[in-house]
Amino acid sequence: MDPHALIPPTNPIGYPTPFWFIELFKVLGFSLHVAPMNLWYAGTLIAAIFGIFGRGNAKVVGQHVARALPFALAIGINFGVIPLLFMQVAYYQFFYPATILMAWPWFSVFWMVMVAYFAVYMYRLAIYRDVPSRIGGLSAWLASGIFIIVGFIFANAMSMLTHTKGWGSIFMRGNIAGAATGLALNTSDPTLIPRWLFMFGIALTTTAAFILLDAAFLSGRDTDDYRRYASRFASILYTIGLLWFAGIGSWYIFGTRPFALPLAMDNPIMRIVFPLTAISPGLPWLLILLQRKGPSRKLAMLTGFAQFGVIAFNAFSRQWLQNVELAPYADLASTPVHPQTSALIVFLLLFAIGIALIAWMLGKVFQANRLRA
Amino acid sequence: MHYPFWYVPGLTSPMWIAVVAVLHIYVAMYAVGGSILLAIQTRLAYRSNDADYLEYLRNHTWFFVLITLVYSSLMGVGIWWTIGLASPLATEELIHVFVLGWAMEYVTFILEIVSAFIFFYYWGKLDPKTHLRIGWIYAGSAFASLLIITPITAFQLNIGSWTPQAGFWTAFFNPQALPQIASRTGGSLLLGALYFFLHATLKVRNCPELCHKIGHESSKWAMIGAFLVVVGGATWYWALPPSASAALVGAAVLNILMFIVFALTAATVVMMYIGPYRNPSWLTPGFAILFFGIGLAATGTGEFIREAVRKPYIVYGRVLGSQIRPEEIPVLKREGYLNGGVWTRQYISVKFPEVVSNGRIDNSRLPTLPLEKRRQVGRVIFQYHCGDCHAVEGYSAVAQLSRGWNRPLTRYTVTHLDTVHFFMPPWAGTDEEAEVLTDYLMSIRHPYPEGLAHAPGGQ
Repeated sequence: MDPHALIPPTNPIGYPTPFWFIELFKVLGFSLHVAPMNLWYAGTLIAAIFGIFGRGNAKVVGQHVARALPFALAIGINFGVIPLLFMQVAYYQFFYPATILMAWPWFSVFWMVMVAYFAVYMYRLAIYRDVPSRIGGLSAWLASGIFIIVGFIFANAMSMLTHTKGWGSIFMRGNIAGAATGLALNTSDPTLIPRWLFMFGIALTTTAAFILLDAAFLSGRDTDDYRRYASRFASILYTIGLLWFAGIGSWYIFGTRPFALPLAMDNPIMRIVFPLTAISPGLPWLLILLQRKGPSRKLAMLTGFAQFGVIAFNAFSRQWLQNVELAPYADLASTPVHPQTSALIVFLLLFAIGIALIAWMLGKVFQANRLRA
Repeated sequence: MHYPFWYVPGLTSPMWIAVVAVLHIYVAMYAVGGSILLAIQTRLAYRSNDADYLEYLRNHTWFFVLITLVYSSLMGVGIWWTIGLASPLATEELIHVFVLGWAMEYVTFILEIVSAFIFFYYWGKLDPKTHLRIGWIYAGSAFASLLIITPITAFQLNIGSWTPQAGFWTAFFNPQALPQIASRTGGSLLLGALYFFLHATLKVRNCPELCHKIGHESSKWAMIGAFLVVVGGATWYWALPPSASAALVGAAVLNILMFIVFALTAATVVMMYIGPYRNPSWLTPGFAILFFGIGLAATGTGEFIREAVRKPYIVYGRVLGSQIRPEEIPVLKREGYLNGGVWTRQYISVKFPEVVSNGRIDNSRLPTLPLEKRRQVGRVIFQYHCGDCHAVEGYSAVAQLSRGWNRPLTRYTVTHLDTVHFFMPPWAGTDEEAEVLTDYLMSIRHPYPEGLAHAPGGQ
């Protein structure tokens, strides 16, 4: 089947905002989603291993990660909807066919995450001895297993989105009288496994950065000994994540996307961003190494920002690569724009009010924490 | 047909939307109504300096956070998953009109999450004034999310004067927006109170005074909610497009369901007034469970009616139930439904190359296929043209609906769908395609029931 013939017609309504705005919010939203998502992706496993099998300070590290998981889940899930929305505005011709071909695994994602979410709460309750520790342990393993499976399904969906050449054969293998059974996975795509593993590498580094931030800001009731241990633990974990990031990232780019680097070098922006993406974890790694004998609040804050930079650079480069891969099939940037200016202003106003209110609430929380301390 | 159709045997894939939406709405309404009731009652408890009342409310907030933030937020995301899979063209249409509306809604969601967590985890750690303000931020952002999402779903039922050239606000302030906001707000207060009754009767032991307070305070707001449901329901009916009100009046099952919704709402109000409002001591776990069941039944039925009357459209005037746009029909009648569909065209090209000429399906060759192949091609048309609303066996089963039909009747119905039933989308294919679809339908239809003396044609 000719993949060009499988691309549906463009929507006559057009974009409500310029394409760059859609891209900006898609990348920003994705970065905001990835930061907490990384914590559940790798952090739940860390929390399960160290919270259950760890002794002394190692156990406390696991428990501290587990303590943060419910909020990270709530905020991460909702941040995830923003890139999902903007993806459906600009990439609908690819997103819907890709996910329908693998409808059942895709449909199972939110049910599985719900189970994992309740399991994370059970684990947290077990830490505070509100439920038996055996149930807590089982819940932790269940949640971490689910998140790894969900990560695999996401890697399938996002790689399927650009694997237009494979759509025809996947569809013909999995249909009943021309309707998709929705049971396919994108296993014929060589990018699938490195994409899946690559995200886990970034998740390890983000979890390490979180452990350091937690030791610097949220461990007021713990001992100095714990804070020193947590900093050392974070530096080891970040190093493992960094090696993972470099190894799998090289496999992904040089092994499965050899055209990416030469194309990036021809693009004035990507010529700078692409190498920066590759080396970006170096900065938080150095900052964490500087704190391996104990966290410093200023450096920890810088580490947090630097880690967000790692995530944002990756999101930007991924977006560029996605556009390159889809360019032969649709000129997304040339879709007509019918601007909804007043709605955009209301959204931006609401966005500003939201940030102000959140800042006010967090200010009150820090004030209360200070008073209690 | 612009997209591959997701085959879900027995149920039809769009029915997943109904399942997920109803499961979501049961808790989403609680998130709005419950947050308002929580803020109101927390203010009351602080003012009266009632430690037991405050402790109960803290307890309730834990239950609230667990149910609304975990279950409701994921089911809300689940709706996105489901509509994209089961109804991609309508989702594509809605997202192009309303993406900024949804973006606004997600700002309110983030506010809800942050405020709900602080409201619960900092209970007793913040001064009462600040704590209460955060409770009101939660209630305000939850209500704002209702104000934003309801006009978007209402747009599906009546787009009013909107055209692709008109702006966002013309779509947003559609004729159905205000009636549905009123009924959803009312339903939220009502359902929120029922959750309070259920939780209070199960959690509070040996403290009749506290139960009195909770029952009395919640039922007051629930009765206001019931009033809003009635006002919203009546204006909703008034603002229906003609085909939707005709469907509502014409379909016996919808008549009965409408009656059930209003009867259940009225019964709830009467029971609420006589029970928790006037005699809070009557409130027992059994009574609360009954109340709760009635509330869920009324809400679920109301949602079903709201969806059912929209036919033949998914987005009124824009996307038909057969996953095509109305303006595509003349082209599809001329060129062929299978030719018009991206995935149907490719499928037929691979599986039935003998009907393909120069990369296009030659409709005149379809009748020359052997009967078994004609049925197979007919089944492809059925999947895409009919599969949104009909399974072969199971939900709205065509094999059952066409029980005993003879060929001329089946053929006539295929090409006159919107004449036979005004709430069905028009036939959008060639005569040859109608023939092969008829071949398929004749192969699956059940025989006329035995034992009827007047059986037509001696069947």
